[in-house]
Amino acid sequence: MTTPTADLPPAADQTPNTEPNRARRRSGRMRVLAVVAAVVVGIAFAFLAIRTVGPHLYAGTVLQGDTPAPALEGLVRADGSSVDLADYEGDVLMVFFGYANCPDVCPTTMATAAQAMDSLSAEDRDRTRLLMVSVDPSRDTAEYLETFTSFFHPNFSGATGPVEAIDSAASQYGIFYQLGEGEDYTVDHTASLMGIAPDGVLRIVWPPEVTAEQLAGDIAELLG
Amino acid sequence: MKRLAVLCCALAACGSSGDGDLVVRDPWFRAPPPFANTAAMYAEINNPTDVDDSLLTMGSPQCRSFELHRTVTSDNVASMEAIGDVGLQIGAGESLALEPGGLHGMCLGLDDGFEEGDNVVVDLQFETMGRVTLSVPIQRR
Ligand SMILES: [Cu+2]
Repeated sequence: MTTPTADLPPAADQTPNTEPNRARRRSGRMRVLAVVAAVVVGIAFAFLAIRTVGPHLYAGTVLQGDTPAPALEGLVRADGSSVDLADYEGDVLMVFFGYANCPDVCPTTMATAAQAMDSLSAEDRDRTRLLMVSVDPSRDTAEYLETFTSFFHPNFSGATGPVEAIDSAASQYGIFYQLGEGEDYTVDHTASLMGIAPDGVLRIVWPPEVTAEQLAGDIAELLG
Repeated sequence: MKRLAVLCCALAACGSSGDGDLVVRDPWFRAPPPFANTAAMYAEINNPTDVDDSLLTMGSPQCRSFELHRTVTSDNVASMEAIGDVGLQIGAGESLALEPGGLHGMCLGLDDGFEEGDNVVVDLQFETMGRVTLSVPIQRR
């Protein structure tokens, strides 16, 4: 494509270099700069708006439907009280199945969840709790679990109970676990974190490799 | 001499590789909760030499036993398996990461007072390099 030149007035450069002319040229450039700046600012605001208004992308797997979370029946806390999910209404409750002798995965998940707590606002943090359900009831007493969980964060606590209650809770939450052999046996177990929303619905499942930032972002969103 | 270089490097928790020596970077134990019986140790081991090596065993006077483990996560189910006698190979110019949710040293039967802020003496036995002794801090991360 060639630039048509025939009907154009003489280009600015060819006109005599008078003062008013230079001033006009400068103000023309200023106008172009202002338009460019306005466009750039506009695009930036549009991006911000999309980021702010657009839907939150959950790091965990969001579960559809509105069935209430299975009631962890028959499980007890260190103070002897039974677990009652109604106690957590209005809060986000993270549920994790693990065991206190777990040296790698469980402490790592607890540390990640504790870091997520630290990055929540104080208000959101007050409304976020974690319950670790034992998959090793023969070694984990409720007191022991409580010591384990509260070591990571005061809002974290533990629950255990008879094997039947744990098996039933595990199967309702889609948790697999299997005890190993030997004196220092370890336990294979599903290491996902489950999130119960403030309305009592089991809403989200976080994979074991979830980061503290992702967890905090999802929790803040669940709290609304 | 090589052995000494690694030891000094690890004790000083140095970040740079001393050319020609195995380097253990950032070794740490995750602080175990009170009454815990086990603790996991992590580090990054770098082999800038032109000789392949293997981490065979780990040990500590503060642990009743010490095992090399790998956490394997499949379909979100985590399980730990012990590393056999062949150990963990660290090829020439390669690194081996012991990290949460993966390979780790596992201290079983903790000494009393295995607490955050303390340091634990850990021996690493390498096939080529021989024994390397580290002072590993217990930390919350
Ligand atoms: Cu292990």
